[in-house]
Amino acid sequence: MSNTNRTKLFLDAALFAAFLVTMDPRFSGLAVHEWLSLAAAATVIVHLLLSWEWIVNVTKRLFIKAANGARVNYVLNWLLFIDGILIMLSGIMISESAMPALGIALPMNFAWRRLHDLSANLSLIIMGLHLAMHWNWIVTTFKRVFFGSGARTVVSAAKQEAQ
Amino acid sequence: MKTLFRILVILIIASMIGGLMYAGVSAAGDAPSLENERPRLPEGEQFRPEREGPAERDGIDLPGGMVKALALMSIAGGIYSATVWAGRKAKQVPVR
Repeated sequence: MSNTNRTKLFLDAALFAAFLVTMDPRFSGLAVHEWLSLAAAATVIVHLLLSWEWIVNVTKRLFIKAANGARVNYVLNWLLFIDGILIMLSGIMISESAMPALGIALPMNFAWRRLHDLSANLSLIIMGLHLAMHWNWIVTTFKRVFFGSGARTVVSAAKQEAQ
Repeated sequence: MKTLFRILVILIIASMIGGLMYAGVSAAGDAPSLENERPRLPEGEQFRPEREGPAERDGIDLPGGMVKALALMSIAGGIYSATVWAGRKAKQVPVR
């Protein structure tokens, strides 16, 4: 198993855990919610860097010979990216803890608050689809990392994702 | 160097999308309708209330937001998986 797959699995698991915690600001507290979200945004960049080859390959052959599944996956990933930007931007605009702590004062606009709620709810649906599309890879990589089995299936799952 | 370039590409794209969103919301925010829709909160109530402390609340403290997140993600993922499964099953039916 490649180190990239192992790193991806642990990074994605951490990202997913952070995503769940940030989805409940009343439970975690506002400060944790805001700082953890900012940290998660940086982690998303690493997530994208680890998938860079796939992104470039599918972008190049999107309209030529990409499989339908890859096209749907690609569009879904873009939607998730755009929605993530909206969540972050609206979150920064209504920040009550992180931005004031950094000495940044932003004007309060209720539209951002509504957009933050809306984009967060939308992200749950897109994230559910994103996870379902990569479920084979998650399961096979998990098995390989923790039980040392399924080397072939990891390769086939990776190939399936690359198509 | 290659990684830095890629990070730069991601940040530039994110900034462009974010800039467009900011411009859109600012333009919409200038309209009087949005200003009027902002609810007036009662005296002493916060714009987004902090979580109550454990001592302030009775019963089991369930992270409702996380449960909701997991439930919605499961539903979305389940619908997708069922659709894919049904599509594969339909392909397997032999043609007479």
